[in-house]
Amino acid sequence: MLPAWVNRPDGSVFLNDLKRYVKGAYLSPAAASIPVVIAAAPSATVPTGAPPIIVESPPDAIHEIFSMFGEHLTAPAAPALPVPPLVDVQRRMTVQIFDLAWRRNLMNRDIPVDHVFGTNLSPFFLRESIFLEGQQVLQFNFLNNSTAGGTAFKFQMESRKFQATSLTRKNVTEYINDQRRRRLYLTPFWQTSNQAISIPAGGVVDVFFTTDRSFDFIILGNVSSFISTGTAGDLEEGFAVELFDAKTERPLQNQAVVRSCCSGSAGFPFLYPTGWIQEPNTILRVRFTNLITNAATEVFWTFFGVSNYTNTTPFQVTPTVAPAEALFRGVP
Amino acid sequence: MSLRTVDKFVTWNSQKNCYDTVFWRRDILPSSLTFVEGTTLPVTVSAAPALTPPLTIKQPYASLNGLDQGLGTPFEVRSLVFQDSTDRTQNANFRVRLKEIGEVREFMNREVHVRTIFGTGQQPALLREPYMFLSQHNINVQLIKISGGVTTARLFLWGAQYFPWSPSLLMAKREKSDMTNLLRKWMNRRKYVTPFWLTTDEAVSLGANAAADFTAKIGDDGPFEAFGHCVVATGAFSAEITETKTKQTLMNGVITDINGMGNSQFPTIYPTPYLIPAGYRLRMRFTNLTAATNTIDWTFFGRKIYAPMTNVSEILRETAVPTPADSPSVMVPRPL
Repeated sequence: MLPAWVNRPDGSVFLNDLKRYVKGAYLSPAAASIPVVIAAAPSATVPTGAPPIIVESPPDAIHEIFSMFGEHLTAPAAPALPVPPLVDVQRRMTVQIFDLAWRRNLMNRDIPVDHVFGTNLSPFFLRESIFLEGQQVLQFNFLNNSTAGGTAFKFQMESRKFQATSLTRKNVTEYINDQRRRRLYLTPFWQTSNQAISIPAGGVVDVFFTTDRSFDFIILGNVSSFISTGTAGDLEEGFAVELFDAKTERPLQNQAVVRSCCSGSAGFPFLYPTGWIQEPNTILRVRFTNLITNAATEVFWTFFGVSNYTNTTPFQVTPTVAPAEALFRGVP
Repeated sequence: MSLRTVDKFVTWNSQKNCYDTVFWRRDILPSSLTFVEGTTLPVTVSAAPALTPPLTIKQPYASLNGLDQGLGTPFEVRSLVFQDSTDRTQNANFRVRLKEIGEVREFMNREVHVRTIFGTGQQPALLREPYMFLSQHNINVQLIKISGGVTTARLFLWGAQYFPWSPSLLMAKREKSDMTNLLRKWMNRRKYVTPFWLTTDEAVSLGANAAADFTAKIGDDGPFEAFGHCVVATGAFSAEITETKTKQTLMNGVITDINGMGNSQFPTIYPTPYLIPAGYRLRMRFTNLTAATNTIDWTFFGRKIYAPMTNVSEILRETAVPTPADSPSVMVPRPL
């Protein structure tokens, strides 16, 4: 295949402003702040925190972030556990990302780092890029929720860098203006359950996911992981899932779907065949069935997608839409 | 920039100066479908060489006072996903045959290896032509273990379920017509284009270092457009494919399973789709590169096109007359 910059039918190169002045780049935190080392949590319910980590776009350029990846560096020293300590620490380490310039959280609460960062071979690709103007920052708050040991985690983001020189080109500035408009309303978003999920041995629980009051959330995929000390049942799958649409309670399946058939990892997430639109302040129900028969299973389940901030005040308790539109939106 | 088409779900509203969510898409839900309720999952796949009794996947009918305008609740199948809980998914060793009962439509010329047609949640096997599965229709599934003992498996169709009768569309006529127009296009298209898998007419099993020719026949009912192939084999082998009618080969030498074969999760995709006219046969020469028996399952994936043909030789194939199995279809006289 021809490289994209050979852009004329006869194979010659025509000046392509966007590609010529725009460079692939990486954004990473300051060297002093990685790896993210956090001591073990004192108890299962009290995590250990770390100072916020800032990633800043340089003053001379605009960055558009496309993907995120990271790695756990070392196996922590830990007491013996049925679950390998390294796995326990890695699966319980969480992050919350805050877009400081726009005062927006990109997730409803702390999300496992392995659901947000892929690997160098299979990064997690954002479904809506994050556009950072010069000196705008993202803030990362990491927590260690494991009592088994300390964390050691490095991360980076792949981006596109618009250097100051590119701003003299018309099609570059048009693109940037369009992205500025998009960023006002559309941001990547991760959503996990309102509460931590624990399914009793061989049992079933209903878990709820509430969409924020200020935006429509378009779910595009999900990532999941689990921890169990069980030794009997389906140890590879761990659990099965039934999804029910928010407000209408329409089931998305005719029988429960096992984990590997309806969820993925950050590098290879499960992508829904079509987007799943959640209206503001609605509650989605997910029923988890434990396939491990002799121990409880802790499940970490994250939907990801794009939030579309609506132009209505988030403080309005009752919808202000006209009756016809209200019916169209399914308001009772 | 959007890496996945979130732009299908939002549209710029220049009056309100913001993005509006496209709310008629709220009534198209990502969904999965597996065997009818009452079939306990996972299903048991009997030890080789037994065939499981036919299992049924059914798309139910649901409507609200006829507001579906006869469209029901159709399900657009987009990918296939499976899990094997005994042999494990990566080692699953059974074949699958899918058949639409209502229209007596075969999706494949013979049963194909599950790992050449079904993927996993992380790497689903994407259909190159989505299949519009109508309400009240059934797909018949048969599972055949290739070797070894009993295993247990789950199979899921993933796709989009349409709710044209949704009450939330009652007062939104334009949005409702957007959905029904889209569905009507699908209703028409599904008559002419369906997903299809082509494998060898006979199961391939070669002795130590043996080589043999096998055929894969495209039916006379329409051309087959292959987008790529997937292979599962018990050992290394090489292959060479020839169109028997034109004597054209698809390669100037043999290709080996190491560098020329993917599986359903990471298939081998052709640089350009390979359109094989109706009635053609492929001769596939396999050479076993090992000193043990080699079982090879080769599956082309793509779509069958039942659209009318304009070329003279294609007109000859507009016949419903059964053709002798080994005769090129163009030799069959056009019915009066």
